[in-house]
Amino acid sequence: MHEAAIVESALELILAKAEEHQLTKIRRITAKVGELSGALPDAMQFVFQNASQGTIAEGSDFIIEQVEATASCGSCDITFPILYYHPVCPSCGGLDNQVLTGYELYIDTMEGD
Amino acid sequence: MSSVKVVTNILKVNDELTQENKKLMNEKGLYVINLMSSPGSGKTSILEKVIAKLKDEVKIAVIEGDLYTTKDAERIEAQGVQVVQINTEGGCHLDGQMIRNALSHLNLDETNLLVIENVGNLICPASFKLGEDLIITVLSTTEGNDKPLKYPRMFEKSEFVILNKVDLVPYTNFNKDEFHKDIREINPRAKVIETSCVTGQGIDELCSWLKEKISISNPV
Repeated sequence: MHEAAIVESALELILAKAEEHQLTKIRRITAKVGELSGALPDAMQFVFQNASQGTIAEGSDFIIEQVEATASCGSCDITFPILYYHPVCPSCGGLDNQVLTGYELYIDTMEGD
Repeated sequence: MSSVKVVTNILKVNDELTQENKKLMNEKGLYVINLMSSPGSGKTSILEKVIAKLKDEVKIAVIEGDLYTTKDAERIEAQGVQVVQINTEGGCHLDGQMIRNALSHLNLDETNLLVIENVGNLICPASFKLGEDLIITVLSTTEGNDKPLKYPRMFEKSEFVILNKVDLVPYTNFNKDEFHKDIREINPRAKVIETSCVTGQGIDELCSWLKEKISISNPV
């Protein structure tokens, strides 16, 4: 399960940020995880609950916002959701489309004391 | 209570390590391939064939990623090229830190082409950049032609997709037309090649593609 490595990396940067801002307790973390990022929010939650134990992030709310995968078709000038990595334009059936969202995998905000 | 705007990529640590690795790879003029697939698709067999054909023209080194054992590294070593084995001991993918360690065991001045054979797994390795110039994903006919749709991410990221064990198609229900159509939909930019390590089909073509790639990236 590579979410373990992803969450460990996330924790590392959260704790470093907390130190930078002199926080001694983290209460809330928000993350953006795109549908194309290859990371499962449920698996990330599970790992986070375990990995954060014994750190200042233990017991914090870890809120993962899933970002829908979307693409735009240059010929039809429309934006459409991508289903299962198939960026097929629903209007013209074209495949040469620009992926706009879905690859996000980042920590957005955190709150603490 | 204070609120902090973080907006930092979660894989920043891996990305930074990979950037450092890439700097070294570029300094040494390496062309780097990340080779991925399920376990047993024939990655190592394809690599053996490619090395045998190219080793007189291109100086090749291989990083072998496996959970346990040095079996694959021994096979590659028998081809007479530099190889280093990474054992992840349960880890499902290779990352920047492992590549950094592996690079320190190779003579990079004597290398033009570095092939990283990733851990056999169709899911996790796709999330971790290793500093590659080319991503190749191998699918074998015995896995079934539904795999690209079930596990699209790796195929979507690949510039080359190899369909291996095509000699076994008559003994399977593998539908090649569906496979090609699915790959086109997931990744219209991918070049697809059919190979067999038993008959040798497609190996020459694959080697010419690779040589073309290497010469484009390192113009003499």
